[in-house]
Amino acid sequence: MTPLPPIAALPPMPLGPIGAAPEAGTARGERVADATPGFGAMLDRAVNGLNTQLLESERLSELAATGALPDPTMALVEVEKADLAFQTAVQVRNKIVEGWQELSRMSV
Amino acid sequence: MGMYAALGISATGLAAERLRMDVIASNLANADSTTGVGDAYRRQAVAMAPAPGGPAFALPRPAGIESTPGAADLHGVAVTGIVEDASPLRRVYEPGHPQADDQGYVTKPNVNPVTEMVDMVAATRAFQANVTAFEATKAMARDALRIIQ
Amino acid sequence: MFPDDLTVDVLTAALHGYGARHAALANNLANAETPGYKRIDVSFEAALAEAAETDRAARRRRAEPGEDPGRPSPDAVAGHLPAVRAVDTTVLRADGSNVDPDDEMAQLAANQLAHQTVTALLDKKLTQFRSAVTGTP
Repeated sequence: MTPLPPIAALPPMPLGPIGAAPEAGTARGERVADATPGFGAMLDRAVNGLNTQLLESERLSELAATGALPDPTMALVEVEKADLAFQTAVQVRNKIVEGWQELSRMSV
Repeated sequence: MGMYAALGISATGLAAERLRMDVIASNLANADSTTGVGDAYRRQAVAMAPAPGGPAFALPRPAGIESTPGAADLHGVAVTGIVEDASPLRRVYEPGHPQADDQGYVTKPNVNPVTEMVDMVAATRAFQANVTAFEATKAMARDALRIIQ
Repeated sequence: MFPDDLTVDVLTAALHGYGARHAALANNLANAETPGYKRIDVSFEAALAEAAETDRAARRRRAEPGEDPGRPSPDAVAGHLPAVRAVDTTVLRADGSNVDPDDEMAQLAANQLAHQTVTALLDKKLTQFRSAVTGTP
């Protein structure tokens, strides 16, 4: 599975202090990048961790299919764990999209 | 494809074993039948061979890998005929018997009840084994249906 | 992503292998009392593992920068077939047959369990794809 694009690649959201006028000559993106490095990097790490987990569960599934695992229980457990992590990520994605839609609906 | 043909294959096994049971029952029932002076019922046996026709199923043969001839076409088992046992009939000394010959011997069938009982157990076990295979096929097919649910 | 997923291909090929083995075992049981019959054996696990390795390495090479991302044909896993052979080197009974019904039934049960496991794994994978597409678990 291909990982979701990192958050940093999405159009920046206005998370700077409200009312503060942007300094002359400073691009808005730069300010946003200063304000949100922690959250973006955290999501990036989480998505990469999920990808690793899914790849590992795929590897174990293939081993179980070719009979290389003496106890296929491990494969089943890993697959279920990865699936739960994946479902969590899907829900997080849904919430983010929902939040973005709500923000874009807000009349300024 | 392997699973639905397996139902037909197991069915041929069930039919063959049931026929064998019928023949064994006939042998046991006629264990003492005489058909005239010097002649009696001859023990019957079922001749079975891997079926040449019937539920045709060719297993995929990988290119470049040798498969022993005949291994890739599975059709189950077929009864090629009911044959008479050619072993000699028994002669029992019974001078008072209506079908005794001049020396007082009556010709009795060449059926040995112990052999028939052993064959009966073997046929029953083979029948049960085919039933197990049949049930396993059904379970696997039911399982595979879960993929689309 | 999902039309090209290697894991789904490997799991499906394994299911074909289990189906073929099941048919062979059923045939052995049907011929359990046939004189001179030699049992039929199906093996595919090692060859499938090798094919999966080949494909995985090929995909890794194609994913490197500078390589052509086109899909070479044929895929080793997609072209994989289980190996079928008659075991004619052993004899178990006086009539020349080498079928042991208990052994066949044990293999049948093991094969069925393996089939169930792989079906469950395949089911889970496809459900995941559906979740990704619809956004609902």
